[in-house]
Amino acid sequence: MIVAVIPAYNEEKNIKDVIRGVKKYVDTVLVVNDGSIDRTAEIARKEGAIVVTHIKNLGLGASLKTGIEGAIRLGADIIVTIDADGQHDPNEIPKLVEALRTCEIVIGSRETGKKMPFIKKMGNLVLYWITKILFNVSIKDTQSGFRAFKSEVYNKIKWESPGYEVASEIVINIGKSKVKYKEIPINTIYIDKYKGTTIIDGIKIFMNMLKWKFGGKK
Amino acid sequence: MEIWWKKMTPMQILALVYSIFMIFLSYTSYKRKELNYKEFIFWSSLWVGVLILIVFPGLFLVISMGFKYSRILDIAYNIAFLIIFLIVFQMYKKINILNKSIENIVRQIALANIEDFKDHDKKGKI
Repeated sequence: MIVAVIPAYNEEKNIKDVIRGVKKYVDTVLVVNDGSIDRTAEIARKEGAIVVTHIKNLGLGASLKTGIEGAIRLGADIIVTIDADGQHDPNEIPKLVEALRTCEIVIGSRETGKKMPFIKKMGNLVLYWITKILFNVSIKDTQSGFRAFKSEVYNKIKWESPGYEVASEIVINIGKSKVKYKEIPINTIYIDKYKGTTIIDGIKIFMNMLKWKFGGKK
Repeated sequence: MEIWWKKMTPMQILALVYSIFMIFLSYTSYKRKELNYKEFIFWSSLWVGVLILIVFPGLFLVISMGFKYSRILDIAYNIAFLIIFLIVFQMYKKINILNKSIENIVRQIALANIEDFKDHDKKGKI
């Protein structure tokens, strides 16, 4: 069974289209409503998604944990994580799932062409090199939220980060647990160039990386 | 015999009264079970120490000469800073633990009835 996990915070404008696009390729859509104050949960339910709600906003990392654990409890064999802001093209889900035939986790790597805002391009480049130097993991787009993995992999890549830094922690855990991974190119739609990881988040991620490297991460 | 309290400055008397009040407050907090025994001993010992230094300020001189401080007040400031940093560090640790507990509780509440949706996918594609 394939379950799509969509962490969502105040995405009433985008969630309907995302669910409609995703449900063509998966058996179940599980939306994690992360304390939204708009109609995200209501719209997601109307579109037929299973919605679980955090009564308080916790952040991306915590939402992914809830969604993935929920998916496993529903009996998922394969889990696809996708952003709720419409940044990822759901038509590429089959490409990610197909790639799981030869690996345990697939990360959709956003193309760094003209479409990607400059600051995100630079941020990705910096994080790529830091991850490579500190953890010997070569994943170009460490911050991508578009992933597919076999449910048994979750315990190997499980994370502590509650916020945006989860993406980096997952990549680092992939390296530490020697999980077989693949990175495949995906299209990206930039609806809001100010959304997503900011410079401050980037600095926090870097500080966390130092903590994970030298602070005895379990 | 010298009446030592007559030699005290008004500031010293005020500080003395305040210290006695804080010892009393620690005791009543302990009795109301707002502090445990260890916490009561810690806070009351601290205030007894302050009280002794207020009554015998010459002790400050001995300590400050030992640590080569030029002013008695500097040693008090430094000790206060160390205590504040220790308290801030302990608070930071407690806040982290609390945040983690809140996260776990919120997530458990979210997933409480997830198994009820197991039939959701068996009705065919949504």
